Amino acid sequence: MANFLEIETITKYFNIANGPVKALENINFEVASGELICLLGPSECGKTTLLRIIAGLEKQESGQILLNGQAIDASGPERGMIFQEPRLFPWLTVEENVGFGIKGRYGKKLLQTIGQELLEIVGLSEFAKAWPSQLSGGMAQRAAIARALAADPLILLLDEPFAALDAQTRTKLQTDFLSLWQSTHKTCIHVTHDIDEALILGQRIIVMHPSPGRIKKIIPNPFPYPRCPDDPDFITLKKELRDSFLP
Amino acid sequence: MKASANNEQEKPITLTGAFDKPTYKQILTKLFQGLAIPLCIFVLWEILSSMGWLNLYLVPPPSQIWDRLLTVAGNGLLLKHIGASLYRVVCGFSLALCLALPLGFLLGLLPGVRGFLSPTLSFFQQIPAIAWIPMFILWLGIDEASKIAIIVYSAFFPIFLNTLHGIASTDSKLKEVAYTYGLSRWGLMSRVYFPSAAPSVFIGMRLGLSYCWRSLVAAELLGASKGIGYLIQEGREMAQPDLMLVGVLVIGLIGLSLDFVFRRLEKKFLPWQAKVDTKEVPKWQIS
Repeated sequence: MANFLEIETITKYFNIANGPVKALENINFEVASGELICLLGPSECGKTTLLRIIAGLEKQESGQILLNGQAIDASGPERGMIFQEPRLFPWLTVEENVGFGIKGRYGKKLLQTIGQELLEIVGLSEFAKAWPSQLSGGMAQRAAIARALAADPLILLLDEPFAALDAQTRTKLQTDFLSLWQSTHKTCIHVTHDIDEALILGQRIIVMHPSPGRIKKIIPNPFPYPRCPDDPDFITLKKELRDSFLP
Repeated sequence: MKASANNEQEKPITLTGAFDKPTYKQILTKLFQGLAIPLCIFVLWEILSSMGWLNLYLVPPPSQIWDRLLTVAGNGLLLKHIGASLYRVVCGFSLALCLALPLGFLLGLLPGVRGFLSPTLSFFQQIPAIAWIPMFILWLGIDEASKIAIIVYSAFFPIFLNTLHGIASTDSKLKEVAYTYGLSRWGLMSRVYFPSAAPSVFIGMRLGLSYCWRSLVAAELLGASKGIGYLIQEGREMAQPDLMLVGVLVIGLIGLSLDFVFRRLEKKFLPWQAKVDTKEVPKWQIS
């Protein structure tokens, strides 16, 4: 498969009181079209920063990001970002939130149809007219996923989207997210600090390491879906991942 | 949007966008609750008066006030004075809106300018509108202009400050979402900043309206030929405490009605706020 997204020698500094601190050092990897990548690492390893650079929300000091061979330096509709919090607009209904990014691109009727379809996919069609404050955490995150999908992005960037949910909701959303990915074949970069989540979701797991943030290992995870993290097949892989978390 | 994940179970889930409308019974209960204390006071007051425990000149009984109210309402005098006062409020409040809203938006969006204007505005904010009355009369004459200027002055600050605060406190996380969808500058303002500031703007307008209603009466007490404040002044000059009390009660009632109208407007324009409103903060806490 041709390289669809290329991350080339990304280095990033943060300015704090004592001077610049290196947040990311020489990050290199490629992502194929349709691939589901997990960026795994402990906190402060720069995984979220890296995702935000890919999303165009932060600027790197050096290196570049190529999407289909084109360098990108700002945010764009072809990259859909899903944050840790749902970040729904409280003054818009669920349906209007889903249509937020494509409003003006389509007519009102079509916008509504797209909204309905996407809410159907994420299992929220009954809540189209509800306010975000009426949704539970898991439902709000589903709505956020629908909103990101509405713009029909080439890549979905997910920043620990299930980390704030309770265990059952998280498992349910992981399963639903997998089937969504399998049916849409969007390229996904999924940031997580949860080894089990990376095992369940990632085709490849990129393990990052802190101070400065760098890639420690890229581990292929060829097991078929659906996966269970307690499967004996995973024991070696899990151990490898856990060890790679150590300094 | 704070982490709403924790209360997964507690949240009641309704399928319609609108929050549940109050039933007839709920409305009646609310009405009863609101009227209970004033009614008790009036009844007690009337009983005390009829038993001769109150000085009838200093504290005329409710029945006498009511009679006076019917008289001034019947001969059209009351309506004329209310009309005059309301006209001033409408003019002054609209003018204040025209000044405070754009300035609030502008300063909310441009933190750089804020540093230049804030100290000066804070200085003026500390001066009660009433303190300006003599100067305004000197500059603008005893007619309408000086009274409207006082209203503008008192309504300006709550509207301006709440608008400024509403814009400046727009959630940067939501701004980021808008940015990832590549919204234009205008799109960001109209689709993120404005709706986000709207509840704050409404609070400012409600406060502004109540401030200007109060200072208007003060202005009318000092020099006017019509208006509720003048009505009270007239009661004083003719030694009619019941007329003075009619004026006082009417001021309260109109203020209450104006606030009620504004709250209804708020519910209509900000339906998503309904949830917040059920935890109603008593108004005296906000102001």
